Order: sequence, then structure tokens, then C-alpha cells
Amino acid sequence: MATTGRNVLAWHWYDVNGAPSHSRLRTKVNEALEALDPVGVVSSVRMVAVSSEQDDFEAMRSLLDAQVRGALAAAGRGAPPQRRGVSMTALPKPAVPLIAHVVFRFDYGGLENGLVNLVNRLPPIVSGTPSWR
Amino acid sequence: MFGPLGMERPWRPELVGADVETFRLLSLRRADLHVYLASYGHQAQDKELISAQNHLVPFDCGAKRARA
Repeated sequence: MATTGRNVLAWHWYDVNGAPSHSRLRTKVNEALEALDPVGVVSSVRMVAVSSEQDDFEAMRSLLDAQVRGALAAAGRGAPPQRRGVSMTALPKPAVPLIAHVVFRFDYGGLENGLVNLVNRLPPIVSGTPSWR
Repeated sequence: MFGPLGMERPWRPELVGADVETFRLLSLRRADLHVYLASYGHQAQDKELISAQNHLVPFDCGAKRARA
């Protein structure tokens, strides 16, 4: 990555409840999978970026492997949280159905906002009981 | 040597609505590393980890440098 005359060597990755990925699409999928998991809660999402103005890629990568990731893990920032090992077959069936859509991309023109408005206006309660979540 | 040195910000991504942002300059044996971390505790509209509003390289990064 070049910025105003100086080269910056940078790494960045996303982390969803301990599942790392450098892909934006994969990160969205990870978030969706967590949302669909009856015992999963998307409680921790983050992006980590590490950069240096030195351009020796291999040297910087080994440095990152040796020290930065370890330091982040020790600080609790890069250490994947442990998932709860609960069998889905042992879980009670949720009374309220979970409706989930995975949308790949919205184009220009406020389509995302339009969909949010539609979802937010769905009647949450039918005949006195929640109909969806 | 490993540890934070200061708050210089030569480059940092731009993530809108992050609940926690941390930026540190770490001095290692052979190089200085800039570490940026943005966390979202709760995501909502205009407050998302993956969003078109977020930029790895902010558009005005060059302008800020030019003014500085």
C-alpha cells in the first residue's frame, strides 16, 4: 500500500468470535453463522491492522509471527474465545422462529436502507405472541 | 524491546462507529509496528464491522499528510 510517497506494509484481518478471516465476505458469512447458531451470540467482532514502513516483507512477517500475534493473544485481543460445546440436538426448539437472510451486496440507491425499513415494519407480534425474531 | 511508544498516526484505517479503537506504536527489535484494533460490541445500521463506510485507506489520508 502506498500513501503519499511512503510505502506502508500492512496486514489486516477480521475476527468474529475467534474466527479470523481476511475476507470481508467470509467475515459476513461468519457473522451470519453465529447469528444462526441457537447458542451463539455475536458478541465480539473486530478488525486488527498491523503496519510498518519497512518494506522487507519476509522479515516483517516473521517478526509479526514471532511477537505481535503472541502479544495480542497474551493481551486477550487475538486469542480466540472458546465456543460453547453444546449439541444442537440437546437444545429446546425455540418458540419463536428465527428469520435470517444472507444478502451478498446492495447496490447504490439506498437499497440497504430500504430493506432495513421493510424489516423494521414487519409486525413483531401476531395474536399476542411474538411471531418472528 | 516491546511496548507502546506513543500515539503517532501515520496511517490507520477508518472504521465508522467502532465501540473501541486502539492504536499503538510498538517498538520491536528491528522495526516499529503500528497496531490498530477496532471492536464492535453491538452492531447496527451505520455501525458495522463490514460496511462500505469503512475504509482501509481513508480517502483524505493524503490530504491530511499534505497539510501536516
